[in-house]
Amino acid sequence: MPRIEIDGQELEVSAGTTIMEAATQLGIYIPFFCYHPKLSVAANCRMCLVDVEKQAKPLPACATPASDGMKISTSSRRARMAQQGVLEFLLINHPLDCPICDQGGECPLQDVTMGYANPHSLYTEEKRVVEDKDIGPLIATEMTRCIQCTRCVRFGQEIGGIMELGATGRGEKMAIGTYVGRAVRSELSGNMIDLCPVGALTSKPFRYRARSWELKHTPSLCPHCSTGCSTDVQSLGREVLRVTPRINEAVNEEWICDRGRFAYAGLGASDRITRPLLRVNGRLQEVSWAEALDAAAAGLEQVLAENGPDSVSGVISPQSTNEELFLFQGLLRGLGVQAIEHRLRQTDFRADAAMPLYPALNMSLEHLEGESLVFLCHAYPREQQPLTNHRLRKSVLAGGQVWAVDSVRREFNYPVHGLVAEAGQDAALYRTLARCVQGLAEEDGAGLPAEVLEAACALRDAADPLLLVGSGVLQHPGAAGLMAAIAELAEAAGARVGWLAEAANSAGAWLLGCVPGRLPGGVPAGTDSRPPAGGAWDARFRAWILMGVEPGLDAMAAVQARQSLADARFVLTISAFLGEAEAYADVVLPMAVWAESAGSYFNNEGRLQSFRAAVKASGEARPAWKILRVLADHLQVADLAFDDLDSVRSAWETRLGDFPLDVPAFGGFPEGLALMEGAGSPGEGCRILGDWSIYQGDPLVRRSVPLQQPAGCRLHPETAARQGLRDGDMVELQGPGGQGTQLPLALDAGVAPGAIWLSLGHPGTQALGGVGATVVLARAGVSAGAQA
Amino acid sequence: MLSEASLAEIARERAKYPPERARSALLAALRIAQAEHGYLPETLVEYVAGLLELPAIQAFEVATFYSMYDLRPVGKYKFCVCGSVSCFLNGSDGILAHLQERLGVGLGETTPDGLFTIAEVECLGACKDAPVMQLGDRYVETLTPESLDVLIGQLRGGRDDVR
Amino acid sequence: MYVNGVTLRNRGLPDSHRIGVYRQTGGYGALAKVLQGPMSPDQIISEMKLSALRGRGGAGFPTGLKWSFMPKGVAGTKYLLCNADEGEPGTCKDRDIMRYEPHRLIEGMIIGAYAMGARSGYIYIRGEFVEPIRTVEAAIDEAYAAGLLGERILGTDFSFDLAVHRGAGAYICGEETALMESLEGKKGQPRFKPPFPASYGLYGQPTTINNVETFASVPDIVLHGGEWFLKLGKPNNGGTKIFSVTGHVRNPGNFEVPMGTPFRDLLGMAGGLHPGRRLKAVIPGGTSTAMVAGDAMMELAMDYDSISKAGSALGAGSVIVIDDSVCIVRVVERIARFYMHESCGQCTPCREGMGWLWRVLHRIENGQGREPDLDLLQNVGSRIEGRTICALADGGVAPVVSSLRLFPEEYEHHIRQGSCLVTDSRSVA
Repeated sequence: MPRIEIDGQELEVSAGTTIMEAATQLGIYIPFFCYHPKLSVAANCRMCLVDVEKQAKPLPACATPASDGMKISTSSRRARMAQQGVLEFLLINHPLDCPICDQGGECPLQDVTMGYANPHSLYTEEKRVVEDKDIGPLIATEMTRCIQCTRCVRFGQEIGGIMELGATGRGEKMAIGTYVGRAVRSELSGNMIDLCPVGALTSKPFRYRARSWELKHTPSLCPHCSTGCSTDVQSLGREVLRVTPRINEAVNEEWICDRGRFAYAGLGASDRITRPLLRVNGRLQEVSWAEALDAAAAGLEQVLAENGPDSVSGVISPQSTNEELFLFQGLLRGLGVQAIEHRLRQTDFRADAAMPLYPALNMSLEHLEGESLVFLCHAYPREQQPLTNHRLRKSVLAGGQVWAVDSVRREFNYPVHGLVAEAGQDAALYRTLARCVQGLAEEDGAGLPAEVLEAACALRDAADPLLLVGSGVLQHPGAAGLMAAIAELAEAAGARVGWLAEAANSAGAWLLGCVPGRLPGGVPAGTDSRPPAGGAWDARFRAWILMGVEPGLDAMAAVQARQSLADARFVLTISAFLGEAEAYADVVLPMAVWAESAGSYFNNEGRLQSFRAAVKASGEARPAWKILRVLADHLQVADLAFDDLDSVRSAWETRLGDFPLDVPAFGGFPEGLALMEGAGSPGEGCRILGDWSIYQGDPLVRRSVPLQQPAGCRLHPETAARQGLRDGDMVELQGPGGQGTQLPLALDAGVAPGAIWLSLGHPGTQALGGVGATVVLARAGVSAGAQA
Repeated sequence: MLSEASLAEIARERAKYPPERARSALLAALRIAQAEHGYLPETLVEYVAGLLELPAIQAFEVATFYSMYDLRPVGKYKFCVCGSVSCFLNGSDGILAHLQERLGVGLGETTPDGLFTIAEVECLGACKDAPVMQLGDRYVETLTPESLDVLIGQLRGGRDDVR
Repeated sequence: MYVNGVTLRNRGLPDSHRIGVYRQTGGYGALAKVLQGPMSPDQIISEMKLSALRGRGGAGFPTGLKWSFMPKGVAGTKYLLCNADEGEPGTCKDRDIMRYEPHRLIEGMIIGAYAMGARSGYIYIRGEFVEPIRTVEAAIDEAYAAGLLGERILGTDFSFDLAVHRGAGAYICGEETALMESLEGKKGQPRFKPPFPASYGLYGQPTTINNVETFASVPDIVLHGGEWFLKLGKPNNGGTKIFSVTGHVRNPGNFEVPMGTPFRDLLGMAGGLHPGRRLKAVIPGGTSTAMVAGDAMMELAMDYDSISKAGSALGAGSVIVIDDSVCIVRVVERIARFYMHESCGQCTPCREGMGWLWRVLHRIENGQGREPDLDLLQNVGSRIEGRTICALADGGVAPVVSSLRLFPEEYEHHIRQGSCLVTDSRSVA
């Protein structure tokens, strides 16, 4: 253990500690630009030069290991001279355009200049100008400001996992850019904005919107996926202008994904509802809250009275807070309604009894980093839970192995062994694996693909493998059979199982009873309240209460949902956006969005985190918990008369009670569960596979213009060739109900032959029938390639 | 985008390095690609990166770092005249001036017939033979205006084997 | 005097690059002595230490000591690299060794590999050297064919593979860690040290790297003993060394002479100055070393310690002779351009400072100098020196600062008169 002295203070550090780290321990500041504790040490900016006794030259604190007896001065004349000299070099070609720079006020170069610059520059030559590049809709570049610290380049290689930015040229011509001005695609790209120590990379959507010091900072949570990243919502007046990560080592370290960073741009969407709406003579009209609430209560009461509580279905977004979820189920159950659902993307509910208390990771996010063998079961965390995925990436970098079993080969940002099921044969693949692991298939192992055997061997030989169940399992038309097969595999391999929960508060929705048949705390609802075959959209329902959802885009059974809602006697929509509700809602109550409201979420680990409102609600929009509370009043539902959010929280906490963070991943499956596997290539058509992309998965993010990417479809080259289709063709797709849409085609050998991969969540793709349905393809018009 | 011969040559270079170190062959692969195409268009850099399973930007970084890669078309004969100190002391500026006058184009430019490009480069490591230039695979040493005129005449006459 | 007797001994023979000629003149005898003698690795390293051979690439680090740093008994491949990225202005000796004596280099590397337990080696040759590359590659092929490279060399348990890696145009790759980066297919940007190559070199494995001339000196040292080599030169400055004498001399060339040979004699070998010219200055070790005034140089001996005492460095023995026909400002401006062009761009002081120095010099040279410019050059130089990862920037500062000290009047004339004191240098342009 080396003992060293920095600026007269003595310290014992562990071997390998750098001078920078040691100084940080002592609270001594050394200026730096290229150094970042989460990135490799480049030692290129030279700003952190310090004076080390008996050394001929000043040494970079970031890269120099402390050795026993070292006496370091961070501010001796020699150190100051070195630091001042380096800073002058950094400034000679920096444009010093701080007045029009978005980095102003939060710029390390400005700050260090304050403390270390020589007030008079000796530089009188012409300054360098660097050509600017367009690297996409998220990051604005002003490369003349760049100080070539290469943090962004190292981020791409080391954290983002795809190298998109590089430092090209050499010497004073060295410049940062993408390959020939290509747009950055990484789902973590926005972090480079935070890392950039100057105004070279800034947020494009935020550009010139405000000065950083004018912004109000509200600690918040990301409302999208189940990782539950800590964020800082920055606002000016009533407008959210920026979202950045807050450091939370246990959850998101210091990163967030681009969905969490840029989805706020959807807050100001043109269909934002700021006043209650009531359908009068077939058209929605703005009305007062009183009118709207009366109409909502009256509409519901009428259906309840005439058709009974079993004719009402309540669907709430899994991005709702615990408070909202608790009140929602309380309201509906108070009305006698049993059909309470948050699972928009699931269509097979036969194994509800086997579902865990909540979709629990069953470990901490940090511990994921240490896993040696992880099997992702129909999971694509890179898009669904990007910062959870980052932990898996770290496990691979540390020597672990990740296998991805799925119905399609996904693109990961680290090496993954992929295992793709034949079209419609997903459960069969898990069963085969289970048999192989048990050795039952040894005699016929020769007939199996090498990668299946390899996967089985990896599982069999692993000391303590982990299966992670992803949302692709629940989205499968035979989800129950798939789950049972995964449970079989887990048993055969002696593997631990965790769930990758889908949305920000899927966990809360389970824990607080927003599923049929389970009350808060997972208590059985008593009566047989299993969902009907058609789930929340079953034709038996006559009225719906929808909160925060757009079934036409969010539901796997979107076609059925739209039909049911169109045929309904009464639909109450509580939402921030009008969207498709214009077609079917009878009453629309405008609710506050996440940044305008407060509440709490359970993340994938079962970690309870809460956030408060950053801005005032838009117009007459109200926090959803208040809307539910007032509705309960109007509908005379007892026990929900809470005065404030804290009392809602106390109430659900009491009902939920203590619960274990780690829970059995599966309960018992029903006997004789049919797999419901589909044929590979049903007749003329192709079997639909697909998923909601990272930027399409909820009402807010799909309204964020800078994040939007067009819908498309992907086919195996063989399938395409059979149909006479080529890469880039526009393809005409016909769903089972005759609905059609046109999508650009990309060829992808990672899609099983006979299947077609669709980006879900777009109006066109949602009309086709969902995963497992069959579409017929034809070439539409001329190919994009031929046009170009 | 590359001929069988070029691909085979890249494979030979690849074999010099440990199997997991494909990136080591990047400099060679870019050189071989440039030799076939005359220069390195962006699509070719990306193609070469793909051959070695590297990000395109990584290959582009290398292609822009080293001075022997040409990212824009150059003439059939590129006169790379050394202008570093020993050649300078032996009249390299005069050599460059003579070339520019004789060929009617400036530094970094190519004659309209696509035959000649003039470039000034830094030390070629042949200081005792100053002034010197690199011409394709060979060095031309102790240059004089007269020797250059002879050389240009020979090259125009289609002889590229001259020494 | 022992002239051209070690690394360039066969230069004048026809086909001196072929293995047959090399063997007829005793080539690969040292390797046979090592493997069949046998000599232990430790014996070889102690002979190397005894010889006082110092790295011929410019830094002059004792070779035997460097070889002894290579760790023993570590897992994975150890690498031996040869630095043939010759590019320091004024240096042109390795090219001749590779063209005329490639087998001497290869034999030296094989012996080095045996002494250090390296299993694999690369010769990094600058990409412009196509002819030397082809010669060395052909020689490697001959050596493989003769069982001198590859598996079980000369029937022993010792195996060593060797290949050429071509550079692509970057002076900085002559810096040993930049060279390793370049060998890994990256930009040639020097690595911060520690860790040093002996523990973390090519592909993160223990690696030793030496210059062409260093390796080419090895066979004779092994054959005749370290003592013999040492005595060719002076204590602490063992052996002979190639000096590339270029610039304003009548017969520029490579001359391999004993360490400590008077500069005066070396100048004579190069044919002396052009008629009627006076020696103004000499850069004794390549442009990264400080200039020495002509008069002072005439009294110096060519060895590490003597040149160092005179405030410069022997470097790679690249002697650039400058007579009174040229303005020193122009020479230094030209040298500064080189460092600006060759800076890798990684470290701030070098990336920004080299261009700054050149721009000021360029202004002065073009009659737009200002009174404070000379202080400015000193000032900028002092902010660059010692503050970068590698020594490129220090090398770029040395000629500027030394010339300011030696020839202030030439700079001042440029600044005050806006014209050149050495008027006839204009006629060159």
